[in-house]
Amino acid sequence: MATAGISFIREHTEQIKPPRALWVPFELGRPLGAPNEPEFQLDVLRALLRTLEEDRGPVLIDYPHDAPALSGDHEPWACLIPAPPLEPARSEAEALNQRLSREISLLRPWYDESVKAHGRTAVRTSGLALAEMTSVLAAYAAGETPQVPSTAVASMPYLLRFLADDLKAYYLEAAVAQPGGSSPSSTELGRWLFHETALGDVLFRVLGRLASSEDQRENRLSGTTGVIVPRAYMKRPANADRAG
Amino acid sequence: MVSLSDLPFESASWVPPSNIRQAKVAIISTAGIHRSSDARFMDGETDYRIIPGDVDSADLVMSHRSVNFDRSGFQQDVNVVFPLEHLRKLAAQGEIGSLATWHYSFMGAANPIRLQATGAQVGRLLREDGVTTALLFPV
Repeated sequence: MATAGISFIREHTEQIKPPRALWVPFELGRPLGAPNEPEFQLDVLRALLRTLEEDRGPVLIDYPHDAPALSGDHEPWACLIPAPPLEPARSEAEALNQRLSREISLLRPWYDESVKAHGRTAVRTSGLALAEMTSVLAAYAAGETPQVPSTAVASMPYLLRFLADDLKAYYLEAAVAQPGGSSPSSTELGRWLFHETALGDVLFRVLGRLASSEDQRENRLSGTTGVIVPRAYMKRPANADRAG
Repeated sequence: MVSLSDLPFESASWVPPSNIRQAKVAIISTAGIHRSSDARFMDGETDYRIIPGDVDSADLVMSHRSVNFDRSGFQQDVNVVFPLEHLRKLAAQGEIGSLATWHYSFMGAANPIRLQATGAQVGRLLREDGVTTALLFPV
């Protein structure tokens, strides 16, 4: 059986020496270049298939084109959501849950639009409904021991990453579907999600609890190899903890 | 973590390719994707998930452990990670021979030495499916 693969990191591929590789100058997570660019994706795929025409190896070919730019010369992208007042909360967990629930409710029209447009959603890993996700995550972020519904796919603390994944996916799917003149880059989306939303604030609180825990299982989920906040967004702007 | 220099890469074998227009092609992804009804990938897991060739792309979800790669692309368009729909098109146009009955997904954030055992299992399954060409897509 012949094999051919995409390479993101040329130096690794030079050392590994797989039989056939196509090095691509794309962002990690996007081996075919860019979403919603079928012709570009097909060109990458055909370039990969052409490595199978070489009669000796190892073959390492550089794909010659950058991914189509998502954001052109326009105003910086922003996801606009209002922040109507909230009822006074009886606890920190309730206050965090209120802020998350308000954001989720305000993003709902764009999320629904995204599901309609793409016919799918990635918000399906934790096994919980959105209200259950925010309740568990807010309670954990506030230092409590949350009650976990029986439909959850994992127990605590491992459930945390699935909750974070589902909520991040909900926010990003909604943000991309919001009407506007530009498509956000993944960096614009990441900055907004982690530094400007109530979800970002809650995720940093979760990270803080994991990092300071004496439980090794929790410790391992934090830090730069953690499962909650990407390395690129670990450093928060000074005012980020007042988000949402 | 395992260092690249600890791994036995010198033995990578060369298999002459068949004519791509007659090839039976499978996708191997390390994106930690699977059908929504499948078990999620857990930390450090080196097992794989089977993705049927007739899967509805809308049913694919991702439970990869790492947060240090972009997921917004996958959320908008499965084909940027797992180009099954494109390969179906290339097969229909005769640019490749046919598609495998099954495709496979691993989670890349796992010990590569322990991945060898499950990788060998998938190799055997691919061979028994008559696959002549495996395309590897990391994230």
